[in-house]
This record gives sequence, C-alpha cells and structure tokens, in this order.
Amino acid sequence: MWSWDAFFSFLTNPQLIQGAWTTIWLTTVSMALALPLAVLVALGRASRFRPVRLVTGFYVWLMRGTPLLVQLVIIYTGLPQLGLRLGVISAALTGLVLNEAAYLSEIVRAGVLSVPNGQSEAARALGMPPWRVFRVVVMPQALRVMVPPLGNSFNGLLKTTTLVSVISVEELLRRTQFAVQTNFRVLEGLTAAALYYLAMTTAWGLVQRWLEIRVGRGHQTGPSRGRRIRSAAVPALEMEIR
Amino acid sequence: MRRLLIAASSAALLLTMAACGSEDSSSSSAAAAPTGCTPKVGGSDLVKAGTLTISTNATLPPMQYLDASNKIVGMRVDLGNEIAKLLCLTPKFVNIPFDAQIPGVQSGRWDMIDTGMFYTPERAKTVKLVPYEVQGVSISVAKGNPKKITSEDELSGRTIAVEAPGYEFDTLTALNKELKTAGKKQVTVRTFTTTADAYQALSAGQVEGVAIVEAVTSYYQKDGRFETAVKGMNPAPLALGFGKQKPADAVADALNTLRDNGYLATLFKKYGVTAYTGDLKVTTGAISAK
Repeated sequence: MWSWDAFFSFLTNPQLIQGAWTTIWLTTVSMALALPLAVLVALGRASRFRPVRLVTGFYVWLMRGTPLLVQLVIIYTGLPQLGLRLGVISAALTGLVLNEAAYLSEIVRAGVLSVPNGQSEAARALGMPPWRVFRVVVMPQALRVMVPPLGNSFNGLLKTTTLVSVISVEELLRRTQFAVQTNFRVLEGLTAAALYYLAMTTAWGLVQRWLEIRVGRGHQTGPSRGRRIRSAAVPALEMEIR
Repeated sequence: MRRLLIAASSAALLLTMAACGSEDSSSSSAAAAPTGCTPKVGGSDLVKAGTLTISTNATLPPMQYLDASNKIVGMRVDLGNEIAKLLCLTPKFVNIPFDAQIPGVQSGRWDMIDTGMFYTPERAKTVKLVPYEVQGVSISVAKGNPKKITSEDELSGRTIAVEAPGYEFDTLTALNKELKTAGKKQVTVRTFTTTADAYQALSAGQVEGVAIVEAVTSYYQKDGRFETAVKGMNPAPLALGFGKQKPADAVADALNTLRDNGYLATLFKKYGVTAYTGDLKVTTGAISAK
C-alpha cells in the first residue's frame, strides 16, 4: 500500500537532503574540473606533435574503453597497493573527472571540427595570431554546437554519481537506502529519491536552455520560437536573456 | 539483406536481454529435487511450487560465500539445504546484497532470508523472524594490530568500514552516541555495499578496521589475513526472515526437529557459533541474546 505520510517524510528527510547535496557537489565539481581537462585533451589530439597525439589518444581510448565502476575501485582500493592512497572524496573526484573528461574531449573535438576550415584560414589571412583565432573565431562557433551535448553529459553525470557509493561515498541513493532501512517503505523512499533527481535534472535543463540561447546569439538554430529572419531574431533573443 | 541483418541482430539482442532478466542468472544455485515425499508447504505459499527460494549475500566466509567453483557454500547454506530437505522442497539460493533482501521477501521475490540477519523488534514488525543463532559484532584489523585497538573505547577516532545498512552499522552508530556523551572522538564510519568491499578497503589500508559478526572475523584471523581486535560487541540473536506466515511456521518446525536430533548443535560447533536457546518460532518484541 502506498503511504503519503511515508513519502512526505522521505522528501523532508535530512538524510536525503544531505545526500542530494553530495550529489550536486560531486557533479558540479567534477564537471568544472573535467571541462578544462577535456579542452586540453581535445587540443592535444589535434596537435602537430605525434607523441602528444598518441598520449591523449591513449588516454581517451583507455577511459572510454573501461567501466567507471572498475576505474573507481582501482583508484580507491587498488592503487594503495602501489603506494598511492587517495581519500574517499579525492578518489571519487579523480575517477569521475578522468572518466568524464575523456567523453567531454570528444564533444569539444566534434565542436571544433564543425567550424569550417575557411573560418580560421580567413582569420589567419587577416593576421590574427593562432591562439586568438581559436578563442575569438573558432570557439564561439564551436560552443554553439557543443552546449547541447555538454549539457547532456552534465545531466548524465548527475545520475552517474550513484556509482561512487561503491567506494563508500554517501550520495543520494545510498542515503535513501539508509533512510528506507528504518521502515522498509522502499517504493516511497526511492520515489522521493527519484523526485530529487528529477528536480536536479530539471533545474539543470533550465540552465542549459539559458546557455544555449546565450551561445546561439546570431543564429537561427537555438531554441527560438517560430521562424524569424536573422536581423529580427538577434534583438528578440537578447531580450529573452535579460 | 541489410535490413535482414538488422532484424536478426535486434532479435538476438532482445533474446540476450530476456536471458539477463531471468531470475536464474549465474548468481543463484539450486540443488537436486527431493524425491519420495510431499512438500510441507503448498505452492500457493511459495515463490515457486516445490522450491524454497532463499536469499543470501554470499560475501561472508565461512557463513555464506562463493567457493572456488563459484558455488554458494557455508554454514547458513548447509542450514538452508537441511531445512529444505525436511520440508521436501528444492533449495534455491539467490545471491544478492543485504539491502535488497527485506524488500524482496516482502514483495515475494524469495521465500526466506538466510543471510545472518540480526533480530531486532523493529525488523520483526516488517518481516516474520525466526531467531536461531547468536552473534556479537567484532572488529577485524590489519595483521599485527598496528593501531593497538583492544577495546570498544579504543575505536574512538578510528576509521571503521562496515556493510550498511545493517546491524553492525547500527552498533557503530550506537557506539558513536556513547562516545559523544563521554566527550570522546567519534568513530569515522565508512559504509560499503558488502562486507567483502569493506575488507578490500581494509587490506588497501583505506580504513583501520571492519565491523562484522565474530564468526567472520575469526575466519580471517585463522586464515592469517586479518586479526580480531574487539569481540562480542552488542550480542544479539540472528534470525531467518519470511514474508508469509506458513513458510515461516514450517521452517520453525523444521528447526525444532534439527535442534532435537542434534543437527543444529553439530553444525554450530563445527563453525564455532553460539546457539539461540529461546523458542524456535516466529517471534516479536524484545528478546534476549540467549
């Protein structure tokens, strides 16, 4: 039998709230650390130097080719055997960041490749230095392509963090299991946890929409309403941002 | 041709998915069906007629664990098999972490929990419990006891791994309350899904001890990997758990037979386990660890 009382008491349970906070913290910090690493790796894979290409290519191959769960257990329980002992949170972050950055680097790479060569060639012809070409010409155009899949990754990461419970991080799911233990109201407890995840992914969806509009300024492909001609779309979208 | 290949491969994929979804995955094992007797529990009171489906977490040598050939063995497995034999049912073990077992027995995924579950009055309100053995919580530490932990109080300030949720976790939580009242440093409790994970963390030096029932810490002490530092904290009866009354009563009857014919005494002696001396029946309310 479904009990609303149990459900609401789970929704306001400090265990779940604390777990949700751990989940948000882990996701945000992992993403913030993984993104710069991903840009470096993507640049490395496009490098003129073969050793750099090989090392970054090997890293992406290794991280994407093995399960995160295995990586986490190796980092936390396996590495101490070689004398490298990371604490619980450092081990969790290391695993999440290294794994996520490999996937993100592919998104960054796809974004950069989506900008036609002619763009950077033209910028170079105007005498811009390479770093400036990358920052001012390539990146803004690449970002527009990158934001939807990057947002997708953030959404995925929110839920992937459940895996770190295997090395004893007490995130939302684990905390819910503790809370459920007191009265075995499994359906109500896990539904409350699912609602927490939904709230987090929904909130992120709003942030992502805002980001898409922001990096899509000057383009028709963003989430704009109806068909507008370009000149009309720009001020209209800018209004939406404010 | 291409379309055909896609159709064939998706059919194959569906088949594998169906196979993965069945209960008969590699994590369960079944013995031969008994012959020449009638089952003592009817098919309508069982998950599967003629079979006693038993959940256990096979991560606790020597109580329940996987042997070299990946078969579930141990004292509680012997006990489950013997009970099934008396009831004229085929025993079938499902190997699954503890946190899934109570919800599973309530929702009719298995008939009996045989995993060394502690008896608590709160638990007795949600599942039918038949107490049968007694265990205390012990602490395993690295060989040589490098932190020189010899008493409950000396756990103060240490990092201890434990399977959670569960009785050992509750024991440490209660200890932390006492330490707090006494103005001492708390035990840092690290929670894992299984005790096997907790022991891995101990052998990796990530924690300073593991809290688990004494039968397990003695097993590791004997095999030389870890030492038992503290014994007999918070002793309590362990129970078999059921969702339905009829299988619970039938198993209680079987346990009484096994107590009378000396099987239980022999089994407990072999594994160094203390017997529960109270009535072997579905029990509720507070009971003592005797």
